[in-house]
Amino acid sequence: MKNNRGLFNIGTVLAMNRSNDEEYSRQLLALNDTIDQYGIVLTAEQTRDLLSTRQRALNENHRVEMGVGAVIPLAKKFAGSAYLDAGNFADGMNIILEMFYYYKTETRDVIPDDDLIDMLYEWFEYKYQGDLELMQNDYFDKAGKNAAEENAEEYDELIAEQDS
Amino acid sequence: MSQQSLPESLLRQKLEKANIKYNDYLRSLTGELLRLELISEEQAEIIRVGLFDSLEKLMRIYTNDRSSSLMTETANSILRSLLYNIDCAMMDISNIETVVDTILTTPMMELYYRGMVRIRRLKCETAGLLAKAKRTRLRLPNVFYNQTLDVSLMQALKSYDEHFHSHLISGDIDYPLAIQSNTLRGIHYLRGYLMDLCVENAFCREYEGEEIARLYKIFCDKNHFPYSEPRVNLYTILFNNALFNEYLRKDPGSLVLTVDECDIIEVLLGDMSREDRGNLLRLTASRMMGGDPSYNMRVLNKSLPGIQNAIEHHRLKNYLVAEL
Repeated sequence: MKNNRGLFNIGTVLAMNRSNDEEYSRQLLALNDTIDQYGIVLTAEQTRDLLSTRQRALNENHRVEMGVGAVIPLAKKFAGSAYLDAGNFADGMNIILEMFYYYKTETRDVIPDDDLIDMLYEWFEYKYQGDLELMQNDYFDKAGKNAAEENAEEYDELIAEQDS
Repeated sequence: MSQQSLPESLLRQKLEKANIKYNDYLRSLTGELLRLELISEEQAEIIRVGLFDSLEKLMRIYTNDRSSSLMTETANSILRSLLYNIDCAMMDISNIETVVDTILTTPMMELYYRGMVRIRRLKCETAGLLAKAKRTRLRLPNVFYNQTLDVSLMQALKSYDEHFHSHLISGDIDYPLAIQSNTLRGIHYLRGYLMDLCVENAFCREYEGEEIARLYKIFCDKNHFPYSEPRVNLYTILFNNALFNEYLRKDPGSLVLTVDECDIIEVLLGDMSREDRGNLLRLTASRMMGGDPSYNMRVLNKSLPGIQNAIEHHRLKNYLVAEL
C-alpha cells in the first residue's frame, strides 16, 4: 500500500507554501508602490532573492511561515531608514531578514513581529547607525544567542510590569 | 472517477479496512480512496489546500495575529491538532459515503470546529468517568493509584487544549492499567484510560475491601515493597488470584491462596498441553462475572504466557499472591 504519511504532514504544507513563491514575488513587487516614495524600487530578481533568503532563514531557524509573512512589514519599515537607499536596500534587507527569523527563534517567539521589527529598526538606525556588519557581529554570532535570550527575558519582564 | 457515483454498500466493499486507521482517519481514508481511485489527485489536492488554509488561520489565532511565523515544532503540533479535530468530526458520521462526501464538500475549518464540539462532549463524558472511577476506587495506600485518581487525571483533563493541542495529553498518568493503549491519542486516550480503570475497579469491588487489603499486604511483603510504592496494576494482582480461586472453586469472595494450593494447581495443570491448559483457564475466566468479561478475557490472554511458564517451572506460588 502506498504510504499516506506524506499526504498531509508539515513537509507537504511547507512545500505548498514554497509553491506560492510566484504569488509572493508579485506581492513584493506591489510593495514598490509604497516604498518608491523613498526612491527605492525592488526588481523582480531582488524579490526572488529576498524570498530565497527568507526560505533559507526559516529553514535554518526551524520555522514555518504561512503567506509572504514578515518580509513586507520589514521592508516598509526599513525603507524609511536614513542609511538605506536604492543601491543597498535589497542587500540590507537580506541581512535584516536573516536576523529577524534568527531572533524569532532565539527569543522563543515571545516578541511579536511588529515589536521585533521596531527593535531591529531602532538598533540599526540609532545604536549602529546603519552599520549592519557591526550589528550582526554584536547580535548575530554565537554570543548573540545569549543577547537574544536576554532580550526575551527583558521583554517578558517588561510585559509583566505593564500587565501589573 | 468520483466517489459520488458509488453507493454505500459498494464503497464499504471496496475499502480495505486494514488500511483505514481510526487514529489517523482523514489521512488513511484519503490514502485508501486515492489507492482505489475513488477520488482523483485533484480532489486530494483540494483537501490539502483546505488544510493549508486552515493551518494558516489557526496559526494566526494561536499567535493572536502577532506573528506570521512559528517554530516548525509548534506548527506541526497545530497541524496534528487540526487533523485530530477533523478526524473526531468525521468519526461522528457512521455512513462512509457521507464521510467521503463530507471531506470533499465541507470546508476543513468547519470540520475542525465540528470536531471541537464532539471533543467537548467527550470531555464531559470523561469528567463523568473520572467521578465514577473515584467513587469506585480501591482503599489501598498505593501512591501511583491514588495520585493518578486524585491529581493527574484531573490535571490532564483541565489542561487539555482542544484548540491547538487536541491530540496530546499533558502530565504524567503514572498508574499502569492491565492493558495499555498505544493507539489512542488526545481525549480518546483519557476517556479510554478511564473506561478501563472503571472496569478494573468494578471487578475489584466484587471482593471485600478487607480481603483486597490482605492480598495487597502479602504482595508487598513478599516483594519487599513499601505499601505505598509498588508501581503495579492492582486489578491484575486481584484477577490472577481470583482466577485460581475460581479454578479451585473456593469461596467466591476469597482471593489469597496458600502455597499448598499453588502446589495442587501445578499438579492438576502441570501435565496438560499448553493449549488445553489455556482453554481450561479461559473457561474458568468465563465463569467470573465481575467487571467486564471481555476485558477479563483480554487480560487473561495477555497474562497466559507468564502463567503457563510459572506452572511449568513450579513457580506459581511466586507468580500469584500466596501465603504459607
